[in-house]
Amino acid sequence: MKKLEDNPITITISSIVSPFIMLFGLYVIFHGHYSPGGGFQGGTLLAAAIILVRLACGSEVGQLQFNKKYGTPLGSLGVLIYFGTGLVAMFLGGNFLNYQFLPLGGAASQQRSMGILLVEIGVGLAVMAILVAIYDDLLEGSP
Amino acid sequence: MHWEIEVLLFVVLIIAALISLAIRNLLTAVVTLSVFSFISALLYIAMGAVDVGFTEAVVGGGVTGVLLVILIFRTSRKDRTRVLGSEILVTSYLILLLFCGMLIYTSFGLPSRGDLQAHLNQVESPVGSPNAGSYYISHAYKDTHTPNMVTAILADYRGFDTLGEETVIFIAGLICFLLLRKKRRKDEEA
Repeated sequence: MKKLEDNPITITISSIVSPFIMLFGLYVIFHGHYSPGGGFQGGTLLAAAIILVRLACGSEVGQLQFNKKYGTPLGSLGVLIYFGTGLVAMFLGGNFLNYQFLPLGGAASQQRSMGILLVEIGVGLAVMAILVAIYDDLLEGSP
Repeated sequence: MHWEIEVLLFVVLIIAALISLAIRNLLTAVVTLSVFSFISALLYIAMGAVDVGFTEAVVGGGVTGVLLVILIFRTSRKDRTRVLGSEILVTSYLILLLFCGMLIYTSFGLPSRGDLQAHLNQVESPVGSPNAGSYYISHAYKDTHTPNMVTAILADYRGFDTLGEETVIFIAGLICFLLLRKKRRKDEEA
């Protein structure tokens, strides 16, 4: 690919914009109960923020923000959070993914709300890490 | 209500799709595909499916374009597929037109959007069993304490589907990891 690392405009703009996109992604994940959005959309926004810096400043500088060796492990962690939430509910007496049986306290509807939040965090983490990992894998070994 | 805007959006959508099919320069095709995604996101939002529109705008218009551009830089920028012969083209266009006419004919049988008399939007189906949609509308907040009904359905009532979705993304990432990393190791050995 063509070298863009020396262009000060793209570096400045992307380094200013990227944290705001990340903030919006986190907002979309954690505010998914009240507004459009959720784990999938928020995770994709987080991945877009990371990929933006990689595109603008080059992959080597982008490693400082999110190292590529964490991509696949974090994705697995996200999937494990989802499965774990379901399995904990199952071992505590309910069906798989029945958040009412999670050990969080409060009324059943409150527990379901918290269970949805846990699951959305898992989805967001997995989507962000996997999308960045796919980007890194595609660029693997390029000149 | 906004039917003029929707007609305009549909026209731009079809033009973008045709351009991305016909053009030989793959980078331009990626750009027109992003345009297609954004227009369809706008259409989803105009139809009231805000969550779906959000996903389409973020995934189809944002990340997929970047991944495809990287792919083109790693492979080839020109579309080198052979142009089909005229008799195959004529038959395929005929089949396409037939299929298009069939879809348009069946679309007349659908109820219009938000029709209160349609069976889908009533509490009970014609045979007397309760409808899922009205159950979600009346019970979602009581059950899950979540005002956004779409989130409640996706993550709680239909949690298995979302789990499957996430597993599919994870498997796609794993396959990219295995295929592309392994190739690099072979290059080093050679």
